[in-house]
Amino acid sequence: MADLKRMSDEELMQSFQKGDDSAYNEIVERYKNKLLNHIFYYVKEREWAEDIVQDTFVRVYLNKDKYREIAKVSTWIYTIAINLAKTSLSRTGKMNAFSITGKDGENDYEIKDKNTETDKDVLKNELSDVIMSSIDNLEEKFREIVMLRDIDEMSYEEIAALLKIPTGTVKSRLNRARLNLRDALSEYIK
Amino acid sequence: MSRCGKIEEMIKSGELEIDVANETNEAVKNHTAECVECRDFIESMKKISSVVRNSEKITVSDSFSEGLKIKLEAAKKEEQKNIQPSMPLFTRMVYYVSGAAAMMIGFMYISSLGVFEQKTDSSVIPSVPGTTQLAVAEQEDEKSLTDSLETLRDNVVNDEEMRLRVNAEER
Repeated sequence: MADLKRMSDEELMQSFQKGDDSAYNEIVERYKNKLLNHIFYYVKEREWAEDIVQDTFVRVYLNKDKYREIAKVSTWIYTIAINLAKTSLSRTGKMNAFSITGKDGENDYEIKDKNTETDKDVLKNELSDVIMSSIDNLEEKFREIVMLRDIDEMSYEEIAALLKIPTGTVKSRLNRARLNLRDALSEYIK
Repeated sequence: MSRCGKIEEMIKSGELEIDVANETNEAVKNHTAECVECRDFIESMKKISSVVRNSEKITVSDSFSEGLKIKLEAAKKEEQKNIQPSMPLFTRMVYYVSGAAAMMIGFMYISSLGVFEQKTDSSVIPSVPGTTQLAVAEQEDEKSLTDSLETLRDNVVNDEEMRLRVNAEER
């Protein structure tokens, strides 16, 4: 198990393709929360997002032989997840329903007892909401890049490969997105 | 927006990578050493990234793994179902192709007998066994039908004449 932790995603995938299901489990462990946070920004509902993430891993399992090392595992998995999210949204007619008020999933965060919240907790929750709303308000092309870079912590090259755009465009879009966020979050970054 | 705006412009154009602006670009380093506005601007941009990165993240529920396991089992079963019919389908295909080939051979054999050759001389038609008898039978049927119709018509005429005669006698 310790060896699996040290293996790269691509090495894990190779091992999984050879029939090692524990390598698959390690991939699931590495990506489940990252994907959940990413997909949550699309669908705004925790259970729905979780459902899509599970479906993503089912696809990964069934299509393991279709993966080729020409692409990074992360790019492949995110592509599957994003396509599933978009399909799921279009089926329910919510494809363009990104809105500031669309925080259906807000109550789906871990339920906390208000009485035990410290001022710091309240501030942190408030900040999270503001960040989420601010990202939500960005144009889709900017929002996607902020999510991939700052939330999913992908490299510029990975983002470029995933979105099929040049690395320079990734950088300029990210900078523009951050300029917009800077205005929205100005009072929290002093 | 900073009053200088030099760094901001570089960032907007994608020329500068904000995370490593001071570390990799000597010109930027020299400029920010003197320009307070641009230095503050870079710091605020870096903070944005850090604030977003450190924002609260959600994690999968406790039932996630169990749910995934159930979905995987169902998907594997479904996949198995889709694979199984492929063998009988192949066998069926062999049967279909064999049947089609047998029909083709039969058709070619019958064609070789000249059944489907078009003949202008009707006298040749009876050369196929049974055709003469069939044609004669058809002609006899037609004659018999014509005779029946004529008899029926005669009967109707006779009835009408009989009715007129009876009426005349009654009067």
